[in-house]
Amino acid sequence: MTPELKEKLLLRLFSSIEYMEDFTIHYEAGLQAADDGFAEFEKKYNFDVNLMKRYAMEFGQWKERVIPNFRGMKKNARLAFNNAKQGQFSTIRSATGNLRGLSKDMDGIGWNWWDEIDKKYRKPYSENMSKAEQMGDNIYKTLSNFWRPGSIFKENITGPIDEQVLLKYLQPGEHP
Amino acid sequence: MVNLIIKSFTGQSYELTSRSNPSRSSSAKRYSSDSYSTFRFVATLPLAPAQWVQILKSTHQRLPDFHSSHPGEVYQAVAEAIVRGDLSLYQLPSMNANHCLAGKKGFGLSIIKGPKPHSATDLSPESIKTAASAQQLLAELGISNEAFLGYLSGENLYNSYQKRNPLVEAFGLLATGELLAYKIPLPPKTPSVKAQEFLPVTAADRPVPLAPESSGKPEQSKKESSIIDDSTQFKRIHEDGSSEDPYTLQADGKPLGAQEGVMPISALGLEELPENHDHLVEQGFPNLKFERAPGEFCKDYANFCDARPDVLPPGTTLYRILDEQANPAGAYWATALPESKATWRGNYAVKDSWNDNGYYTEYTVPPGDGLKVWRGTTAGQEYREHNGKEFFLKGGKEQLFISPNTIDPAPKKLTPWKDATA
Repeated sequence: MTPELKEKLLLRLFSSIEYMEDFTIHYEAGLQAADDGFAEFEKKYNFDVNLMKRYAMEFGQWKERVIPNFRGMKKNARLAFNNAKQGQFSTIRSATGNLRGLSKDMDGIGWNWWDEIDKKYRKPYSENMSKAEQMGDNIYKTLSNFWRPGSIFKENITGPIDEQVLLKYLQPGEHP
Repeated sequence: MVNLIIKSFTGQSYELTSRSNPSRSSSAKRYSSDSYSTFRFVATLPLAPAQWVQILKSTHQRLPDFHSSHPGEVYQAVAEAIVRGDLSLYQLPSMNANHCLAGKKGFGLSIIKGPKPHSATDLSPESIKTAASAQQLLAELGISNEAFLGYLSGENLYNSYQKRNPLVEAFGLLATGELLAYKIPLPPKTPSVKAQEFLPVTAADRPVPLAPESSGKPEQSKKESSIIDDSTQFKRIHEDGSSEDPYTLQADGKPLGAQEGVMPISALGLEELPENHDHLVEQGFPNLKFERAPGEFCKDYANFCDARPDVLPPGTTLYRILDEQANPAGAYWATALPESKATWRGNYAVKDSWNDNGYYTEYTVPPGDGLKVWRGTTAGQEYREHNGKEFFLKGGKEQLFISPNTIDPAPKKLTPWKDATA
């Protein structure tokens, strides 16, 4: 496959509704896992004075800051996907752009409380959010036309790319 | 019941009174919240359940039947008594070197509302009968008139905005006893001395490897510091929508410091790690792609348009803006205090719904090998689209990235911004 064709196919993949749907599913699942995990922690926290003393600051951070933001982001993700299906891409473009800065948004937020709940919450959070961040980045740069020369070919930037999947985006008259 | 003074683990003093006994201090602020928050707050106070029961009995409260020995039941009963008004809890102003207007001659100044003095201190208010004696006190302590007015404004004691003779008016308040001034002895200056209440570990989320300065921190201090006063609330309240909204719109129809439209590519952050990053991390530089949990990476490099390693020499001072619940020892810092909240948001790209400001902290690199950091241009940040509008924070100023939870910042101070509550 020539680099020119590969680039075209990558751009079609990253701007496809299927890819956006996949992103939305991971994003929603990751945010929901955090919400569920925190609800589980909150149940324990409310009846355990030692937890209250140990995690007072983290609890406040998540209750007042993180969870409301995550819920807003989750609603926005679904709206973004629905808008994209209708041909309006600005919502998903900004949703994915917003996600790009999450590590800075969460600077100073505590994560130790996760150790107090069942591990079944953290894994889906980590896996889904990692995928959502990666896919979101690809969507964002594609819809914003922000790819720097050559960077779309680097899998350390785009994440792993399956060329067989790319072939689905060939148009009539195009050959790998 | 006599009025009780309770000192929390953070050093914050509270006065507990019964319905018939108001606070003895004019500057006391009555604690008021819902039952659940009050319950949480009561549980953090350093009184044993048996002591609370004794207090409830002394106010002739009809005690509920406690079904178990669980302290939560007692805290709940206390919280209900507070919500009903049978007990009142007042927060008293902090009167110590960390919360005063520092002078240049070994003393600072704490000013509180009068005429009734602070009820939990051995100090006596200064005797000020005239404006001239107030001015003399400032001169004696080496405090400028501007700093004095700024302090009053920051403490919500007097707003000098658009006043013709603010200094005269403020001195008048001292002379009439509406405000009371206390001289606070300051400790000798030493680098990197930290107030106990801001040991930064509850949010010590990331065990940071290879960081300078972290090795000697005793575990005990982490445990002690995990208790904070949670009676403070975030300043920002979404008056124009839900708490899940991404921002509050200002009078100009934009979020503070933001621009409308699509962010330019020039503000886009890095796509990959800076050259030699991993090697530099091995040498003690902060990790811009820290793995917080298996497979869960913090892609902090994406928050820089460009980033280069640097070792800050001893004596360099860094600044970090905080809100009530932020971790003072977080990762992102600036080399200067931003001049306003709007420029902070815009130039350092800090989103409204994640950090509300209100405070700042400083850190001066202590004598030794210096502090290893990444420094570079702050990348822009996109707000998610809301009500059909797109906004972004452009960034552009130089920011510093340090290994979080590895330094001991100074106690937080109020941000001296006119737009701090915007």
